[in-house]
Amino acid sequence: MENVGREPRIPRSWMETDEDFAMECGRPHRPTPPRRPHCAGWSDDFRTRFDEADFMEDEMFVEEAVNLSAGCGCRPKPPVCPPDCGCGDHDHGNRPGNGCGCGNDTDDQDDDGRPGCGCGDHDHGNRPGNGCGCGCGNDTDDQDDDGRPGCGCGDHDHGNRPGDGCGCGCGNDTDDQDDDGRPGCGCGDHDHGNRPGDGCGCGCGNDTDDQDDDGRPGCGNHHRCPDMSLAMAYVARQRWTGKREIYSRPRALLRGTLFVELDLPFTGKGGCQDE
Amino acid sequence: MWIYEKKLQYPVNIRKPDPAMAKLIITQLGGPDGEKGASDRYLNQRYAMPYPEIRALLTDIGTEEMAHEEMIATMVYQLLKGCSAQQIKAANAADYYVDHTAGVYPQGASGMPYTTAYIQSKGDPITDLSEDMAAEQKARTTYENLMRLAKDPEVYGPLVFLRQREIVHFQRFGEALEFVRKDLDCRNFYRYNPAFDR
Amino acid sequence: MNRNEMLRELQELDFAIQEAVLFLDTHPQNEVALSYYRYVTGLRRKAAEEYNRVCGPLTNRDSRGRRWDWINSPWPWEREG
Repeated sequence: MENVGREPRIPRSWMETDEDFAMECGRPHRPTPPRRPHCAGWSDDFRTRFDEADFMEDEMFVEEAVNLSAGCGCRPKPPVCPPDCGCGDHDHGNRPGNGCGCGNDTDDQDDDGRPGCGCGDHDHGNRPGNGCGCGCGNDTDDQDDDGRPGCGCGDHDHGNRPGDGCGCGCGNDTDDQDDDGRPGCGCGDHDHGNRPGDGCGCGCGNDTDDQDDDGRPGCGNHHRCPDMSLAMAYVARQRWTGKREIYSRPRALLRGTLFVELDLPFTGKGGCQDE
Repeated sequence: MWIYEKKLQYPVNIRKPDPAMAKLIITQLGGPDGEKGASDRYLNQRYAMPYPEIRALLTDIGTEEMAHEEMIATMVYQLLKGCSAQQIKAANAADYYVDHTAGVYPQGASGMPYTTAYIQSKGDPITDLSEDMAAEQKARTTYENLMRLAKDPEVYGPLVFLRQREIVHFQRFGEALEFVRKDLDCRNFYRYNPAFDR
Repeated sequence: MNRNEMLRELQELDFAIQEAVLFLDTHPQNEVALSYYRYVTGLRRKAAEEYNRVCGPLTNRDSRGRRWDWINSPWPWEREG
């Protein structure tokens, strides 16, 4: 389907010949691409040849285009997981305190010398104010370094550090946990000292005076959030870093997407094809 | 507002009429999971959407769905064009023909006319985006069902294109949830409806 | 290029733009996408001018000349694309 010269570039179907037609059981539903040397580590379930760079004039892409034309034309590797993509099988780059929100810390992602990541049974490196971030009360080894067991609100002094807030349920700020000079911790009527990222810590929406200093009304996510929360849907975020992720324009139109990694063809046949 | 461009998003050139296939394909115009519903859904949801990125996305995908409506209508038109009444009857499409001749009337494969009841615009970003993601998957499955039955490559090609678009749209709506999540409290995304309670 | 080739060129460009636009809606800061968008919209501008000149108006704002050629065939469902 790569058209050069003066040939009319009307895409017939993506099929080259009737023989390639998908409806016959067992036949591939696109023309078998030319054999290419296999690139080590690259997916070999689909091979496509990248066409001449569409934008050779665009300096940014010249180098990549050169690399591509010298390459073996295999489908690019699936993108590597970003560092924040989950638990259990990723190295978070040995950054202390990353955690992963799960209990599958088999390779000690959170670098705490213990398996599992989470609350209650890990020392987050004795950094003040880390808290445990997930349910209170399991602070058996004094994770939040406040000299008391449990982590929570209402009855703990978080070391008089401004902006600590109480982190879980509001209103119990009898000892001025959030160091704002007022009892209770809450939103809407407290100034958290104009410290960015403090948030309001308990139900949002009352951030009329931009308490959390993020330039928007309402309180946002200023807490240490797990990668994924319960009761929420997540779709992996696509990345686009250069030319390797995209088709040439004629192929893109034919395939129905510009992006190689979103090209997910259908090969189901269901019942038998009659006739 | 909308300007119309006198071209299809992807070429449709069906030379061989097939009224039976027309009655099936039309479901992606006026059926429960069709392009008309998709475009109505997204274009109506965008008004209450508080996030600019998602407003743009709903507008852009909603507009693209209008282009897909046109492709499906073109397929129906070409599949019916040139047939005699007897040929249509032989293809078991006489019920459509008597009410619409060889015209295009948005209805489902079962003959139910299009209705706004097929869509929802709930005025809550998480709800609306969830509805949109489901809609794209339903459309994808419908295209796959049609693809199993399409023997003519000139019919099959546009179906492949349209199915792939559904997958890409699903990806975008899924990504759009991120803008909502960033704005809300990760410990409880459901404290309030950002489209209404702020 | 003949009519069909020009139409196809425009369809390909518009499709690339549409994909870049949807990507940018959910990745507004992505520089690669922005760069690609600028590139293809530049090409598109030229292709559309050419198309309007040779093949007739693409939109009802593009009619030039003395005749109201907007109404002319072929309309998209009458021909390929």
